[in-house]
Amino acid sequence: MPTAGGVLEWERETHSVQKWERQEEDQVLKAEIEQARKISELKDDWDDEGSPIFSRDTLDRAIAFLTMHSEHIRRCYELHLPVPKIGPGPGGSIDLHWKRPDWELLVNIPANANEMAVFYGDNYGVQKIKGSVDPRIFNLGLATWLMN
Amino acid sequence: MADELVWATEKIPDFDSVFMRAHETYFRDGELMPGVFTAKDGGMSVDWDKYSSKEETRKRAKNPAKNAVLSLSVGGVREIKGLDVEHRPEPKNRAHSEIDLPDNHEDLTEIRVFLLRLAKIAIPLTAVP
Repeated sequence: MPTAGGVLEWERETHSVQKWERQEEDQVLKAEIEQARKISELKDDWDDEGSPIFSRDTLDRAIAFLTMHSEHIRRCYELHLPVPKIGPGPGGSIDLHWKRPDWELLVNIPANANEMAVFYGDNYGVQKIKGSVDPRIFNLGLATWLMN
Repeated sequence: MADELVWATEKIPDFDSVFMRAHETYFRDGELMPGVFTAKDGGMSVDWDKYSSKEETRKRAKNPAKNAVLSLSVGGVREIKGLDVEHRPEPKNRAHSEIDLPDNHEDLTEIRVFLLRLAKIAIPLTAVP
């Protein structure tokens, strides 16, 4: 027969599972960011084709954009942001690339801190999202897409 | 001293393909990333498969061991908004061709997504002898 003590124990167990999921998500994001840090260690002409270096500042702005949206979505909607691949973009810019079974989104953080970030995404069909955003400000349109 | 070779410029048919190198940095966990599609001096250099094998394209890299080779269908490229593949032969590379990418960053971002979907791996990184 259940007791009050048993119910309390069950509540604690549920809480620990939620915490573990959050920690796991954090670890995946942290691992991706750590991997991306290697991009800023590349030397000029790193591909022997004349590609420029990626500045620490550009990478930091890309990570700030990502963590801002991740934290906002978690806090306001209690959802986890899928973790993108962080990779080299054209001309010293940084790409954030989400490739999911149902949709794809590419956000490009420019090397020039005064330029807007640009993005394109679709659901492999007729739904599309394309434009420019200030990467320092949370963008609800992109966040909505990321919560698909 | 020998005269420099000058190759005639030809129209590349839709059913042909072009090869391009992809440096190892553009791969993550074996997956190609869209940053590989970037212009140098306005155009993205590729080799027409009429005059170059995929192996020859890889050998043109300074460090072939760090490069994979991608294949892009010319007709497929031309179906992507506003893109074309033009034969621009060089004295030492008759296959040399270029895909002009747009300056507009929003359009470029969209086009890179479509090029990524079109690209096939002709020589993977792991195939380096």
